[in-house]
Amino acid sequence: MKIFLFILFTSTVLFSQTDWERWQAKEIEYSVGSINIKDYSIDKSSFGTTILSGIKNGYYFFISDLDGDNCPFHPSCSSFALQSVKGTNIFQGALMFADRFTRDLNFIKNPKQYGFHQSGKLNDPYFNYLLSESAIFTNNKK
Amino acid sequence: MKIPKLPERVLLKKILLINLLFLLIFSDLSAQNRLFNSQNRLNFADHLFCEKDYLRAFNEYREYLKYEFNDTVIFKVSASLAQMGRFTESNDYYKTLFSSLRLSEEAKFEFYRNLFLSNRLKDFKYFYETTSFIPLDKDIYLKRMLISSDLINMNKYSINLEDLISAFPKRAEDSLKTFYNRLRFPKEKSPLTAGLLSTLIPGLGKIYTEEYGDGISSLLLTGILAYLAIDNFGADHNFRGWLFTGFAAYFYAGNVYGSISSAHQFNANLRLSLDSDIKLFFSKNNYFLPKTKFVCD
Repeated sequence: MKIFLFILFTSTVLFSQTDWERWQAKEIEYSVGSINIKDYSIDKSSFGTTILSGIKNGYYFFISDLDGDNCPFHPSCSSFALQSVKGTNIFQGALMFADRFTRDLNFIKNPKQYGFHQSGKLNDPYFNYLLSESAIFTNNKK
Repeated sequence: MKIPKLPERVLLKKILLINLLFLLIFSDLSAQNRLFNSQNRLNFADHLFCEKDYLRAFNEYREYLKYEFNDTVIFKVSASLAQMGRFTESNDYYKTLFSSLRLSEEAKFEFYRNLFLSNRLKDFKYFYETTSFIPLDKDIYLKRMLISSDLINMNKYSINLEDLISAFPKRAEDSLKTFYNRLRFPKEKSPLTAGLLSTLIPGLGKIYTEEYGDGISSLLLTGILAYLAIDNFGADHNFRGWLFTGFAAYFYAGNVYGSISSAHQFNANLRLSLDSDIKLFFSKNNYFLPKTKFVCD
């Protein structure tokens, strides 16, 4: 009898459903994930991008990593160049990079012109420079 | 105190244990029954709904509907789904209420509103023009949605200003006229002009598109590189001369490209700011969303 009662009591407690299960509660993660992890992968989608991502990795390894995270823009100039070439072609991408580099030299950057990325840097994605108003409108529409 | 004899004690013990067992089993069951009865579930769902916890409210309402039929609850299920952006499912529920005695008109209106909010304007127009289930007392709101849909979607050639103004109250007239003029006659910058100006003087195109700092840095960079090229050629440093010529030409071309792109951005930003102003105006003034009376009053 005692054993039966013991099992009855313990089983009630053990198999009872808690509110935690009932509402499928989730543990909340408060830590902020790192958003500045550099991508060292080689893009083998074409000959040009393979060379370019090689140059970008060299730049990351020998200059950027030693110099620190100083680019005021997101994505950084090197990532912007690679994305531009991937998104368009080598000529247009090169011109887009020249323009970005010139804008980077401007000491007084207007935050209203760019807006802020969640990393706190100025948001300057490559699709804003594709010479297409509809692309800018669609990608920036809230 | 008189201590009971051994057989009596055993009997008492047994009775006590049986009582305890009954108490355990039945008290637990009845408590469960009391807690999860339909009325409690409905109250809890209403509470969640008013707290704007629409997902959980939706689940509770659905559980409730397994045991009871209530058209108000079906309406709230649909409203919860619409609040979560699940407009198609929401409309499926609203359709079941079209024949309801009490909520038919409200359900029809919400059906149209869901079509409007989910940007299914073709369907909206089709149902508005062809079907007979237009809620009569809310026709004014539907007309507003229909007329303003072109403004909200920025179809500048299909807007009729007079119709637009007549559909809304007098106090909205000035704002609507401003939006119409901003859409129809935007103060855009020409990419061609920006490109030509930057070809003449580096950076001038950017100054034309009101990016003064970028224009000046463009002029300085190209100017300094050109000066270095000329200076090196003058000093017979031909390699360095050609190197700086190459850089100057590259950044000169980049500056022309950047100016054209800057004009495009300027024009896109005009549209973006108009888009957000229009949306803000309509959401602030609540012209399409008459509040349903029984929900969370």
